[in-house]
Amino acid sequence: MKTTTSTILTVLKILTWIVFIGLSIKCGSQIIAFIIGFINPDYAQNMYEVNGDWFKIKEQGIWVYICVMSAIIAISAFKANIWFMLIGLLSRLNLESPFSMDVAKRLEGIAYQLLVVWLAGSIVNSYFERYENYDLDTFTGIDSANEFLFVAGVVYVISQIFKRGIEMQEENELTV
Amino acid sequence: MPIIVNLDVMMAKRKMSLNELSEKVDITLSNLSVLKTGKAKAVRFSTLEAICKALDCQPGDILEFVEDD
Repeated sequence: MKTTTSTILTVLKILTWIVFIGLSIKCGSQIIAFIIGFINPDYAQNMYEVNGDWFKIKEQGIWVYICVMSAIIAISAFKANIWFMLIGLLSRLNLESPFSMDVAKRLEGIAYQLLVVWLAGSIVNSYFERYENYDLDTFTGIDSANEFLFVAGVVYVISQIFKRGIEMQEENELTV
Repeated sequence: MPIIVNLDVMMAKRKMSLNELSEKVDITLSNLSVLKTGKAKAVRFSTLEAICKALDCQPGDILEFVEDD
């Protein structure tokens, strides 16, 4: 049983690294496309993980374009950061005494970060709901930001249970 | 904490060292130290029984209730 859990944890660590690298590449590509978009929009449209529709927003004004692109890049960066936090959490997870304040704080941090993604996604999505010619899903990569709110709630509850676990572990360790 | 552990007082009365008590009650030195310094959050009845037996005293000689100000 113990070996199975350790194996699953190792597999999870590898998977989180893969996802984190993938999301970092996506975020980096979006930042570069945003910058190149000012110089050569035709080239930027064909870049990896870049939606051609993004550059149509320029028609609505340069500041609208900058704000929307900043939000899209921020969402990607937050998503990558969530996975980075998960890597940190998994590397610090000790199965011998799993309840540590560090892990609980990281879980809480992930919950807050998910909440930020939900907020940013909701703002961008609600802005584009007014425009029927834009596809929301391909635009921000978030079809319904409410899923992030749900996951944030679940992770927050787990972090609070973890905190209680720390108290119980401490009590157990200090029982003579 | 309002519960005071007077283990050191009883040990001094019986002229027993922490090492000696640790051997007699079969509890690690670190655990006895946790109890002696008042850091312990709980004491098992079996531990209390072993300590009372080794020090020839009552639980009340080791534990004392002092109201917080």
